[in-house]
Amino acid sequence: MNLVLELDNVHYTYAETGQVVLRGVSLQLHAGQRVALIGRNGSGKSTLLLHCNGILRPQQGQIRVHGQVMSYTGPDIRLWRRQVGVIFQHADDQLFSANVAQDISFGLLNLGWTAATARTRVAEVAAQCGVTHLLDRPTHALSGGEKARVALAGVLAMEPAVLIGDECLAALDPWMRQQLLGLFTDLATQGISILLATHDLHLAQTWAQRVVVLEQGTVVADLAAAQLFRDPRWLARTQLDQVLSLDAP
Amino acid sequence: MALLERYAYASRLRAIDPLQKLGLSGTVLILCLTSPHPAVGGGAFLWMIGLLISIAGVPLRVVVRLLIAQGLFLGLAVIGVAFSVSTSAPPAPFRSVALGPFWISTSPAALAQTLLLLSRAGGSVSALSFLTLTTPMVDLFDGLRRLRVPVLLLDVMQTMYRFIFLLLDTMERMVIAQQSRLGYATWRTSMRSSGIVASRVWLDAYQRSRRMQQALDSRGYAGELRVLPSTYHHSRNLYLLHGGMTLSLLAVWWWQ
Ligand SMILES: Nc1ncnc2c1ncn2[C@@H]1O[C@H](COP(=O)(O)OP(=O)(O)OP(=O)(O)O)[C@@H](O)[C@H]1O
Ligand SMILES: [Mg+2]
Repeated sequence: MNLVLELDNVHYTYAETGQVVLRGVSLQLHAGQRVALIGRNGSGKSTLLLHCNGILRPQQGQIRVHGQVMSYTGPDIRLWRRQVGVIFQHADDQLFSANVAQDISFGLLNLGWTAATARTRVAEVAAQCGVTHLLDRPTHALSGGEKARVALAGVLAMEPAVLIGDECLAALDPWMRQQLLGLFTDLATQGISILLATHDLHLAQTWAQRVVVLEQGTVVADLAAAQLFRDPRWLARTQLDQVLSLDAP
Repeated sequence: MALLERYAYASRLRAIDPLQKLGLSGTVLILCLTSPHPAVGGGAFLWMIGLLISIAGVPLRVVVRLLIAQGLFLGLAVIGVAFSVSTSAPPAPFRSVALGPFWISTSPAALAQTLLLLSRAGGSVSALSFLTLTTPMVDLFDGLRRLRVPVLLLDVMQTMYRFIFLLLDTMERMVIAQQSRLGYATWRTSMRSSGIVASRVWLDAYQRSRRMQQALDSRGYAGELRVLPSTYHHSRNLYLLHGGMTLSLLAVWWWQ
């Protein structure tokens, strides 16, 4: 399969606290794959995702997009961010614009699209994310789930090859979540790779093809969802048995 | 949502080009500030209130309340112009009343000045109210962008506008969280709690601005917050009213 995004032995320490958060993480993402990233609070999921489009720079290790080592400046970084779209954990951090349609259009205009094509694309993703009726609203007058959907639309609009979501479905109602998971599956069939950090084990079990488990900054499991959730040895190793035993048949 | 903005979004003039509305209130503003006749300011005031209620469909109640609030400020400000205080009775054109050891006096000239000031300020304030009650900030930013106001200035304005709501939101959540743990039960704890909020809000804003920067970078931010301009239409009726109003105010000026 076509390798799209590769993290190779990534190490990261936050300078402010000196805390080592990632200790040699390696991860490979192929075209059209649906991957769930799970792990305890503070295990380093958000930090890892910020490396995927060059927001954070590893102190050691390498990140490759389509086999190319990306540089952190100039046209390289622009190309990188165009190909890897990241939806942030808190939608409020992402919405800067005074109204919804304008916020969604931001990335497109940065890519150099004309106003007319951008307008069409905004309408299209708004429909996919169920925010058409909100296009005219100020961003501060939205519910949490609505904000999350607008944030998603803003990233999706840019047609990334890799879509990365940091708990981007957590605030959504079950119906909307179902609809968006369906959308993600469709996108994956079109060849877009999707990596979702989540605390939702049901999602990891049913929607993802592959699950990556992060523990204190290292990958302790990276395998097919079916295998991870069935094999008692893997369950024990990732301590998932402690949380799954309750609803075992 | 901010109170006034809510009416701007609901206004019947919402979809009209912000530049047209800006032009209308600009005309009124210039006429009020340049005319030496109080009647022009007064006329402008009546026109603006009339347009707000009949054309824009802003509820009378809202307009009246806004005017009372603005009127209070204005009233306080002009008292000093209309009246003067001295320890002896001033001569002829002044009329005075004694109040204990002081004389409070006024003159026809001072009253005329006050009237002019009131009419100018009243007319200008009503013109600005017309703009704020019919045009949301987003549209205004749009309009200013088309007027080629420097991009940097607009970006700063827009980000500040967004952050005002984020800060208010954060503050509200913090205060509610404190209240639910009895943070405001006594005067002492209230002082302590509000102190904590005051300092935390800024730290929070700082962290948040850093995360917002990361999110902007993720979507290819290159030094300018470019977004799609909204589409508006121009209203012929409003242009006609605009013309009629300008002519009538000029006529008032002329005949004075
Ligand atoms: N800006 C920062 N400065 C310093 N330390 C940080 C910063 N952000 C996160 N950390 C620390 O890094 C560790 C990993 O944080 P991260 O946000 O990546 O965890 P996470 O897996 O996303 O957790 P969660 O499930 O709660 O979202 C945590 O211990 C956290 O305290
Ligand atoms: Mg996180």
